[in-house]
Amino acid sequence: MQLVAPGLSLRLQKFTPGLSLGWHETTYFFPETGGTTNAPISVLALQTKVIGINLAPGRITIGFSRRLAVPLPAEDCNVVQIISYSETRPKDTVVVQKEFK
Amino acid sequence: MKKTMIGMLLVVFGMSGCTSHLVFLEEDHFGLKAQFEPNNPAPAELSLGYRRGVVAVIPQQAAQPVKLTNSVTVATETTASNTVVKVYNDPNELMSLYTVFRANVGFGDPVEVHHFLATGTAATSLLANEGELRNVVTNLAGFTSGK
Repeated sequence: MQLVAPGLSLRLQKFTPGLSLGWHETTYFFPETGGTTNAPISVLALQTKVIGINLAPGRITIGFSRRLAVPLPAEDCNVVQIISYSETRPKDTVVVQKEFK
Repeated sequence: MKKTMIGMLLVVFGMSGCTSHLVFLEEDHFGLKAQFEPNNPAPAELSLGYRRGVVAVIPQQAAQPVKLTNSVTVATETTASNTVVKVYNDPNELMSLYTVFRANVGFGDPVEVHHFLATGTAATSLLANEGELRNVVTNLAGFTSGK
């Protein structure tokens, strides 16, 4: 899932709060659910791309900025996860998480 | 297209529980960047130009100090036809982690990232068998496409 905010944007969401002027793009990497949608889905990784001015908690950037963050799976420590992403081939993106009990 | 194997981090540690927060962070920045610490108006870090960083943050949250020991004991038994690898977890180990990251880092090139992460018993099982580990890593989707 991708969230694009051109121009002046105020972001209040959990992962990338802040204020930006220019171009702000957030890509959320959610795991494939295999058709199961009842269970809550947590984001496996997050990529932000900013062109312009960005004010975030504890950080000010001017210019081009891109960052990819991968949080630790919080609920279960026995997991294998794969994230494969190409900007030129977004349809080939692979986001998989397997849990082992 | 410049391709770089950014890093292979092998971390087996015994100080952190499942509820701790690990953040793997990879970033590119071109321009001006200022970072601040709480309650300090002066920037703690200031950079101008191109900056690239790959960071793994693993905070330790053990309530009591834990003496580090060997995290995993691996024993290999070979019979006439089979080789059996046994993994014995160290009771002092609270968590294992194995992660591989590969990315296209050419400035101005399209972004391409591949990330593999295994935690807990999944990680220790992989670590017990180097051949299997190598096979998993090299055959991951995107890892063998010439990137």
